[in-house]
Amino acid sequence: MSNEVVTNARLRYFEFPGGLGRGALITFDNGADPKRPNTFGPGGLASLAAALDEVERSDAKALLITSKPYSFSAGADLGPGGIMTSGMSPRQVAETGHDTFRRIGELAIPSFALLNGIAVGGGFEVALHCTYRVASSAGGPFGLPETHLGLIPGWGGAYLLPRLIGPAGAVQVIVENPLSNNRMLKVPEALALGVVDAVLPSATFVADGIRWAHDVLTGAITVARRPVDDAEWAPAIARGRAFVAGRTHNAFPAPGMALDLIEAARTRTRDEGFAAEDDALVACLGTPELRASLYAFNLLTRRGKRPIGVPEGVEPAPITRIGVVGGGLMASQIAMLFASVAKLPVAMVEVSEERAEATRGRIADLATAEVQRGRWHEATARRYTSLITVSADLGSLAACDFVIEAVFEELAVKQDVFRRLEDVVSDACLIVTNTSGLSISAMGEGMRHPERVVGMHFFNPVARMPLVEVIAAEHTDERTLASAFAFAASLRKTAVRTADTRGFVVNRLLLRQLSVLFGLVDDGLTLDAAMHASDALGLPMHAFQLLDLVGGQVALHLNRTMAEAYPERFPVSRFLEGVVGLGMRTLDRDGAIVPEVAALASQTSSRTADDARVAVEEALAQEIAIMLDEQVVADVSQIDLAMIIGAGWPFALGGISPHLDANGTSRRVVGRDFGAGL
Amino acid sequence: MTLRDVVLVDAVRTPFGKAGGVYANTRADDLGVAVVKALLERTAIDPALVEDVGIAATSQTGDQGVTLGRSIGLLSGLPNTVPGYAIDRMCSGAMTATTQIASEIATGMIDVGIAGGVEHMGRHPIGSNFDVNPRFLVERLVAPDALNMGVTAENLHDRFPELTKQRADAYAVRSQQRTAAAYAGGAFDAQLIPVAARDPEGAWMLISRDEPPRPDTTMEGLATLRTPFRPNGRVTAGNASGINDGATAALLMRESTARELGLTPRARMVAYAFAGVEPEIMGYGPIPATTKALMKAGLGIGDLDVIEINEAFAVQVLAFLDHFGLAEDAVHVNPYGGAIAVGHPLATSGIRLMANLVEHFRRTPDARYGLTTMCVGLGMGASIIWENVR
Repeated sequence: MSNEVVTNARLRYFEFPGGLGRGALITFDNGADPKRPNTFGPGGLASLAAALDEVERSDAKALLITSKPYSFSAGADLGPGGIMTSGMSPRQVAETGHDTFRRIGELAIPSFALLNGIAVGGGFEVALHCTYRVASSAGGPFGLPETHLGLIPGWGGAYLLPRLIGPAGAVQVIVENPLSNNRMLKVPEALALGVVDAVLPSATFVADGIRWAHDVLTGAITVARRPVDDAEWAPAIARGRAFVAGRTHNAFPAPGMALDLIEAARTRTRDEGFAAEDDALVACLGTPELRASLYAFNLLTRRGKRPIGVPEGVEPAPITRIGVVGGGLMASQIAMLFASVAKLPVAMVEVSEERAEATRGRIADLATAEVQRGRWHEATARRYTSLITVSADLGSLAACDFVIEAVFEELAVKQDVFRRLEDVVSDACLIVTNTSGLSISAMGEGMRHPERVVGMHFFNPVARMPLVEVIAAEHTDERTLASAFAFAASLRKTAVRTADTRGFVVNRLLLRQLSVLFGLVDDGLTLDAAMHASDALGLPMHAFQLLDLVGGQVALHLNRTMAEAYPERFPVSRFLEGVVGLGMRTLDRDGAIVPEVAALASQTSSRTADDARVAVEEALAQEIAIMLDEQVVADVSQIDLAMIIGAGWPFALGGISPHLDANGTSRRVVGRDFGAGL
Repeated sequence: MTLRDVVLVDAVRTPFGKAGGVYANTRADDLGVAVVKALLERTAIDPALVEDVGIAATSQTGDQGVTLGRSIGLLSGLPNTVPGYAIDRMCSGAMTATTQIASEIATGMIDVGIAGGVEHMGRHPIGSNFDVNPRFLVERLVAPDALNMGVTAENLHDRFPELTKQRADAYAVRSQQRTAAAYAGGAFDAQLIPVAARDPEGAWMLISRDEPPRPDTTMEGLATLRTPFRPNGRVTAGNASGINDGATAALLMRESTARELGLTPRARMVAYAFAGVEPEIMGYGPIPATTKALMKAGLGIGDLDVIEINEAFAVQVLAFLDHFGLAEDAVHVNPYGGAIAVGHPLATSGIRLMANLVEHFRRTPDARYGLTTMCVGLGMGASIIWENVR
């Protein structure tokens, strides 16, 4: 049964100044704490409908709609207890939204949305039904993220937005932004696009919005809208289709359906447009992509914030001084993360004064890059860099209570670092490795206190990648583990706990993918087929892009590490060895395979890209089943979460396991579904 | 040091609310933001021209505690180059902010300043943050009840037996009637800044009128009210101001600056004075303060064409009128009614008086001099004499 947190539409009347008469003012408010945004479920829609009943019968000269501070509406509640679990059929969901919202646009009086905060999805569509939209200077973000989730804006957005701001803007808001890491509109962009008609200061926004509405009603303000030319549509739609093909290889239906709706909005009537949205929404609501997307959405928004496997009732150790052993790019990025987010002093140690000086330069360069991108003020950069000291003396780490190593990925090197470290730091100091795949238990061998050793695997680029794998080694105690999770949270990273098995989660599956694919290349698969093997999955990068990003050397090293543990499943391909031997990137600037690399492949096989995709899917299903048997993670959702935020795998695949279930790969390979909690 | 002429360019206020009423869910400082921002918008001056912001509150704690002149300035969109301060002289806070900013202008230290007052008595009841020095009582420096304003009003009735409850009630009815007439005549249109506030259900409402007035007040009705400050007393909720929330602000300038900016000065400051009296009869304060201000101005009471006196209590206004030999229904005294009707959010009221004064000046070009005056807790009075700028 539904346990909807109902967003009420509270209706009040007020007197416009100057004898203009009464205005009706609706406030959306779910009565919850400020962090929980207003949403629409069956109860919320019914509350709005009841308010509109009353407005229709009133003498109000205008309807104004606003909300509790900073949250206009985040649209349909897609979480547990939301509209998807309300017992409504997909068609009822589509039609109830339309039936309610369209009444705003069909009132005999003008309507104004006073957007004082987030307005996305259905929350943005309700504003599109209004005659005018005004944003608070502290308002936003605005957007229609539906296609990001495998949906289409089906409560009027796909029809109304292109007719309001033109097809080019609509394609950007409805398709391009959602498929670009779900980018949202800030207030100035919304104004420039014509999505909002005016921006008013946040200080007295609702009062100013009422005054603005008054001035529109009296004609003191006229709202100019850019006329939309018929000739704009074809190029805008073509641009959108090219964008979708480039981004997802049309692996998922929703973006294309949204473009179809935008295209047809030019000539459709309201009734036709809304009916088409109903049909499209119903089509989306039944798809496995949507179920997978909602699963992924909930993983990120809810479960991702509460990691699984944190020891309960264990007080984390306070962390006040950090040490970093190593001064390479990864070590420098990690040091900068600690300084800029945790704002703690960081002591770095390199093997020589010469290398230390190079590291100082690297730190300075990282800070300069942030300043040049406009993310940091120069003074901010100085604050962070001044927290970082670099020396060639391991003894400088003596006072640290957390030391992480990011030296060369060689077990013996890391063991040596750990043993020498133990002579320098206190017995309570956490000793952490950023290894991307080596045995952490082995690193702790011979240590007096291996219980304070733990893995924290950051991803490159460290500042942007939200995932950190937290790895419990054989002797890791609960306090150490709890401290690692607490520290990850303070760094605003999402932590996934994994066992001390090679490659942990993300690298293990990425390497399995590359190993299978390049093995097929060794057997004659064409490079073209290998390149397009992941098209139908909509992965953000194909195998060669991934290889060039990681670097051939690193990939080969990782592959060998995996092969040592699992020789049958991670064979090192001749192709990969050849690429590393060439010492060059596989792709040129235009994304074509360079001739030297092409020459490494016989390309004699008639197997297609789709054959290769099936082989990759089967390998992934097998690997996931083995990982679950090995208890690498608590459950399959943690694998999906890690692949979504650690490798950018699509929402529409639900990471990966829902997709493997949906197309039957799991049953075929493993004999069962993974059954992630969709 | 040569003094320069100081003019009042604009004075505005939020509609006043009853404690626990329309502003129950609105922050005190946000009320202040509404009026400061409105001053800037109405006069369309470059905010960077403002050189100081003095905002008063009696209870400088919580949402009235963050150096109001500075915090409200920043929240209202003034550039961070504009300084500000908080100031307190109880009920005359805004009046003191006005004389302070005016003095900065007169002495040539600034050309443009904003004075204001904020008081959310629903959130900060008078005395809620007091820690009164015990010496006051142990050494009998003041009577034990000198800090209870209602009791000081009763004391005033005792001191001047001719100030009867009958006269106080009649005065109160007139205040309500004059306020109702002023509303009907649009006298408050220029000074009221509508404020959006959320009601107990979270719904936004537009507050564009004062909440306290009771235009249907009658002598008969007032006779039935209890006297909360003593048995068989004379002071009731009907012949006193209430417990209120609100904010006021005024834009003050050097007169030549106003003219350079193309702004119309509404009133020129002539003189001001603050005076102390026995705390037990704090309502007597306007008499010595006004006497002193008139002396500084070289004027007599008969030179004043309009008097805006704060009605903390009817008895205190009657004491003033009797002292200066003015009729208790004198048409030039509180022509638009007063605090008994619209309310008295302590530190804000001084500028409300100025807003009424300039409205009267605007409507009555023949009027030359005017007075704004009020009684102040712990036994003080505050008075400013203004000249109509015609």
